[in-house]
Amino acid sequence: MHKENLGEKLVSYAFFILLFIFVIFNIVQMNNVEKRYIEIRDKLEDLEKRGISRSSTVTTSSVSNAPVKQKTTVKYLHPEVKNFLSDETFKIRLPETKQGGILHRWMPADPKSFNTIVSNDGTLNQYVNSYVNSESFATRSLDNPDKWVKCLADRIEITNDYKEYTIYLKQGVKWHTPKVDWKSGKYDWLKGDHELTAKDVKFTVDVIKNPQVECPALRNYYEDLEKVEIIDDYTVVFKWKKKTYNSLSFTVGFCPIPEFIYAYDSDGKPFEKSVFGLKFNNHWYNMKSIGCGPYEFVSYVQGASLVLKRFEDYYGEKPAIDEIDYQIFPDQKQNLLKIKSRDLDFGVLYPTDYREEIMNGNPSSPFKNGEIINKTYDEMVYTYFGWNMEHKILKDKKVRWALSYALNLDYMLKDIFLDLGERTTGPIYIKSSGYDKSLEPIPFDLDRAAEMLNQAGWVDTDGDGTRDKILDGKKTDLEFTMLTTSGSPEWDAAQTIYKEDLQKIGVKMNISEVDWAVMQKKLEGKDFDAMGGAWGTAWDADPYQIWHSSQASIPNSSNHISYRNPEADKIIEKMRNTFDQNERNKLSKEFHRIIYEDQPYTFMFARKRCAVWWNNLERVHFMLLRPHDDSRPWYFSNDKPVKR
Amino acid sequence: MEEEKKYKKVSYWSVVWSQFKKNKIALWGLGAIVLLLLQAIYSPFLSLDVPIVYSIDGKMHCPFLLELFNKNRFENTVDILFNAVMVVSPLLVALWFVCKKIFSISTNKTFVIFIAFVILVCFAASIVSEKLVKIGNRKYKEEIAIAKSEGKKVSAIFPLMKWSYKETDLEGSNPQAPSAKHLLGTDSTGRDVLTRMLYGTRISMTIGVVAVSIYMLIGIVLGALAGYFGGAIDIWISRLIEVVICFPTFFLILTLAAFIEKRTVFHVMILIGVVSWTGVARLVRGEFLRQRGMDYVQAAIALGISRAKIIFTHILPNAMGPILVSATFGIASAILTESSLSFLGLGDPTAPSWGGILNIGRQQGKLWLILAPGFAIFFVVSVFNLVGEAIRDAMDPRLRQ
Amino acid sequence: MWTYITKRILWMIPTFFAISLIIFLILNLAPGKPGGTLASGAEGQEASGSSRESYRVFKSQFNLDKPVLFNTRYALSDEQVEKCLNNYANESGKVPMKEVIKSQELLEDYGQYSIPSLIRILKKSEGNQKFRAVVLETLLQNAQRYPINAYAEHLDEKTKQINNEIDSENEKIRTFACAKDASPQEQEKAAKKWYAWYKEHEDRFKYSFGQKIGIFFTDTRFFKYWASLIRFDFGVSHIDKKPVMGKILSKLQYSLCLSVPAVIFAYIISVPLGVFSAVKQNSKFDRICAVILFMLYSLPSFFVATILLYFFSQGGDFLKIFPTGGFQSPSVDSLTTWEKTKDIIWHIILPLICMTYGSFASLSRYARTGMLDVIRSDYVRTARAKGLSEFVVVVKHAMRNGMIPIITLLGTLLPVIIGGSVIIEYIFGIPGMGQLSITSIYNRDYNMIMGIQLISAILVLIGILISDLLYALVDPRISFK
Repeated sequence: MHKENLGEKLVSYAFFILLFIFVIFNIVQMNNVEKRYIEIRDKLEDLEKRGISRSSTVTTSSVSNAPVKQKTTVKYLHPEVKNFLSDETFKIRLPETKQGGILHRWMPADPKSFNTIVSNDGTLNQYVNSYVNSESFATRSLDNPDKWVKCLADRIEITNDYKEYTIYLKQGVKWHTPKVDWKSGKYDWLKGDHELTAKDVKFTVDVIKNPQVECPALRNYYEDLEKVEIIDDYTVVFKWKKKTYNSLSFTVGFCPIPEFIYAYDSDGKPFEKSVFGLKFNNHWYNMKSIGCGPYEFVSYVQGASLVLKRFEDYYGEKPAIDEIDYQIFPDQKQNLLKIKSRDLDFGVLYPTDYREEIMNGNPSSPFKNGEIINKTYDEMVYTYFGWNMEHKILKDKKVRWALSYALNLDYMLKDIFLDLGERTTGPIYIKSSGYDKSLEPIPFDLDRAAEMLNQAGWVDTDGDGTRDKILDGKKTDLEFTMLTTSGSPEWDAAQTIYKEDLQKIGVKMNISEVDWAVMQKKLEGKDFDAMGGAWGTAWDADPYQIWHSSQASIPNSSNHISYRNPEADKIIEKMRNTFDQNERNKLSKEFHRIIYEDQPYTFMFARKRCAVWWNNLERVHFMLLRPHDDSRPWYFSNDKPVKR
Repeated sequence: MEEEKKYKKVSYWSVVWSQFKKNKIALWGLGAIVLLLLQAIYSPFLSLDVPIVYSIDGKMHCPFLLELFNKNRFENTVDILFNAVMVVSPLLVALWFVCKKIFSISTNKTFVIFIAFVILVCFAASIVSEKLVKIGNRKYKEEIAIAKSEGKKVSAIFPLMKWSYKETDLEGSNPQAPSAKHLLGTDSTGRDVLTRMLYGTRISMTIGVVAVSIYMLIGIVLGALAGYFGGAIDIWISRLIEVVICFPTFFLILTLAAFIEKRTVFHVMILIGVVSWTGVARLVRGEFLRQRGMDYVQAAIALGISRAKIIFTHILPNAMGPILVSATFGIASAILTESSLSFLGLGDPTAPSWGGILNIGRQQGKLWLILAPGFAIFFVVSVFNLVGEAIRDAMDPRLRQ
Repeated sequence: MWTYITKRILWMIPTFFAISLIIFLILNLAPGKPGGTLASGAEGQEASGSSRESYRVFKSQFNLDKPVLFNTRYALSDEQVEKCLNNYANESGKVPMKEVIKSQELLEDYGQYSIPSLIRILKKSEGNQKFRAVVLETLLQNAQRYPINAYAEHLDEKTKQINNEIDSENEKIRTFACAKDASPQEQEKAAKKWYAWYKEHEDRFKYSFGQKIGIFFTDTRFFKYWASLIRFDFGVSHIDKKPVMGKILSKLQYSLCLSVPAVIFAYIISVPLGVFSAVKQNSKFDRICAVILFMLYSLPSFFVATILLYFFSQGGDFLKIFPTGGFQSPSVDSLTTWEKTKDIIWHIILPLICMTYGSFASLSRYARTGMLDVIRSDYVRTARAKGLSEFVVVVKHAMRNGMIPIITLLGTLLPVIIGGSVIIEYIFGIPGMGQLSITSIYNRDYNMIMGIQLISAILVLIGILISDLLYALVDPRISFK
């Protein structure tokens, strides 16, 4: 090696070392600067939350030109009619409630769209809409769901024939401020305060009735709505063609959407009428949410987070918690860990985690030492195995009863579903007043099942281990295929056990696990023998779609098992025209009994969930109605340490 | 006399074999493959809920043989097939020895024909037995227990373990940890994991062998056609290979598997086979291009031997070496692919696949459900890779001493 | 060289066409319906009514109402339409539901092409009240046209005008509607309106020869797909209607963060390892190395991932060091860049290990064989004979040539680098390309699946080209021909 070379090398080494030191120094410096920046930002946000606005942001109220409307006195159209709505309601805020705090929660999947009309997304309904934009004219009372209480409407008058509903809207209900890039000036047309008026209601109905808009289910509900009339800014009349109970619940439970944003393109021009529906389906504001609920939408990052902030101009009782912070990730394991590490304040456990943490938990773990509180609550969902009533074997009632006897539900509930459920016997929500509690859950009894099959003429004549019978002149084995969706370990286990038990009494059940898209296609075409599934129920659900015989022969209907029973039909039809709650409950019980006797489904469980939360969260109360974990009454007590 | 033998016997394959024999680890690997095969075939003797022989009050019963072909006990056609092999093979091996002793036939050709014959017989036996055997689903364990409790004289010889791979044991909170009753515990539905592992060998072995045979067949035929004839055929086949090579293989298999509604093991085999033949086709084509110009082929053409005969009896045996190596590696990767599919829940849901067990283990977070299938997959894959590598080294003239 | 590259790239076009054709056929002929509006939550929400109508809009948006390859519907015969109508009406009640639905879908898909036949059948079917109701219903549904280019951002005046015309005509058509249980007289009245309307627009349904050819080739799913593909537009996802390309690009960062370091580490570890064991051939080190590498090579990655998660993650039972999954902590907002980097590294260490070990096992074997080939050659022996130190010989002389095969492998790794690993991302919950692929499969998101397949096919093509070029660049013996 030459000497010069060595010198050169030394210089270059020194240079690199200096560079390296410089880079490290820079990183440290930048880090400090950034930390300061974040601190300042957080402080500013805090200030803003307390009502002191930053001078740099354009707040809508400062540019608002719209004259503040004076409250007009309302003239009732039918003053003689009693107000349909009652006043009493569940108190959101108690005197001891402390205001403030951020509630961190988990959201398992990204919403596909925030547009409530177009999207029929379970995630969205549960986590966002109930806070932001599902304010309806009236809601079922939270503590007594048989009653309706005031919400957006102050008064609803219903004519005696139940065809005409006059709705008097509350005055001064404000829509949230749209979350757009105000600085760009592109959205100046959106500026100003926007109040909920009858125009919004009419607009929403027009949207629903537009055949291009992707909301077939909703449109179906409002098919009999003849027209909506605007009387004045705060009074609308809904006129229906027929007298049905549904028209009552869909009028009273109507949620308007804001016209000032959904009727316009992003440049402020109204949509072309000819393509309105299609444009509405892909509306530019679809990935943000707007409404007039207690919380307003702040930000959404796909696959990461969704933030809601309390709406200070909310017309009703404002909740105590300032902000709801959703973290979006699909993995349930992570959910558990984040609850443990207090990244989440509240969460719902899956059965496996429930077993590990609550049933077999370590006594020193936060789940056991009182730091995390747990409680199971009822979900309005029931699971079932459904039998295709047109199947040549399963159409026999005796066979269905035998199959119900052979299902070891008690073991499954205890060992697989870990008591997160309750045996149910019918399609009615187990906590509702229309559920007939006198009907006994069917016990697990293989001998009885075998005997019933013998009675029905199913005997193993050829000794191949499967019962058979001559049907239409052909010897048929007692064999059918159970169709379920794949991906749930609990269902997998339940099916395997059922299959083995059935084999013991000479029934051959094949399992076909398909994914949801295929399953849907098969149900639509009624191309299955038996299926496992779950229905979400409502408080006072109309059984028409699932159980009425007119739905049995329509492809694509919810009555995919083709259940037909004239007696049940009669009750369903009668229920649709009965408005008295006691009478309805009686009919519902009758209907429950008929379904129980027919066993078109083998009803499994009314599902339960286990919720867990850190103990500084107070007044966690589970609603009877969906969403059960509505956080509005909750608040943080600050006297307990917050470790975050 | 001795010298004559020496010259006669030194064929290409015997050289390869003698090279292979020098690699001790590879020999162990080969032994392991044979053992695995035997284990797969004789699984019912290791674990089944049917007694081999039992007697109640001096009356002997032997339900074992018939139960092997009972569709209620073995849902998978693969199982019935293996059972047929199990029953038929000892008889045929005996027959083979008798033939060898009496008629002294021992050329390779007859051996191949013999193997083909065995496979055919097994197929026939399994298909016929499925139709014939109708014994229902008797619960022998319960019957024996009842007889015992009634005070009858009972004696029974069971296989090593008394579980069938789909029997659910609900007398405990599942998944049960390993115990004397279940040596490797149970899965979430109470099925014995060790038994499922044993029967899983059958699935893995079949997948490996059948999938590879499928794509070998496609690859060899297309490659041979392209390499031998050249010209337009070669161009088109090469284009096809080029196109298929660009498919994202694993993703395509995933997509197709998700689209098949009632997936069985055979679907998975066919999918793997149909998608991954390109490597073999290229290999064979190259080999044929090389061999086509050689003197022996030119001589054969000059002698007027038919093209098909030249392809299959002259060139193919000479090109067999690299094909064999790639087949051995192929089996390993086919087994891996299948277990990944089952792991993602896109395999055959009824088959006791190792990947499926591992998936349950991941969901449940139980060590015995993770380690057992994981190491089984690892073992089989590495054994096949080992043997493949050894064959390749044995055939590489540069490494020959 | 440039001519060679151009030639190769030009060859890619037909190859790519063939690939897209095959994948397109596989996807479109596979059973199961595409997802989208239909695939809502996995467990039935509140019973939904007939989703037929929205499914029709959905189908037309994604061209699913068109035939796959060739369109011969301009020559639709009355018999075909009538058969479908009969099945759909299902008067005897004996037609299986599967057939009914198939006929219903066919009728919808025939759309405008079925109008002349429907009018003729309507004329014929007088007196058959139930059947006529079905004909009228189908007519009402098929005669309405969709607005042109409805999903475009901006429309020119002419299209707007056409759309307005279509809209007013649709509105007029909707007034022809008559109830399902209407009396024969009412039906006749509606039919009269239809005849008048048809007479007015009759020439719209008469196709010239040129038009027929146009319809035959262009009014098909495949053509429509390719027409947008030429503009590098992969369509929009069926699920959330966002552009496929945008979704893929948004996922790319996660996959790249994982695969680029994985490949770099694999090379950093495997090259010295391979070289060292080649230099010390048959030494103890070489043997141990070979055994370990061999074992790593055969270890399935999903097994390793599960084990690592079990032993080293917070969800497991042993050392609770690493997170159970995800790409970063949820509270990233309040972190500085440096802390964010740390956070990401903390999250991706386990998946990185899983992705690295397999490839470095095979890479070092390549490196070793490459070195072995070179180290025995004459010029290396010459270099040694010159008295150069062993280090210089190995690093300066042998490695340059010995690393050729392993460098060219870089090209074939391209699809892996960009496509990510399905299984690793699935297990560790990393929201990258791999997870996107698997969710799109589960959701039957055809456009997404197509997009991912095609992009990976393009990557393979480019990868092969790159590795050929690299090979030629580093090895002067190979020339471009």
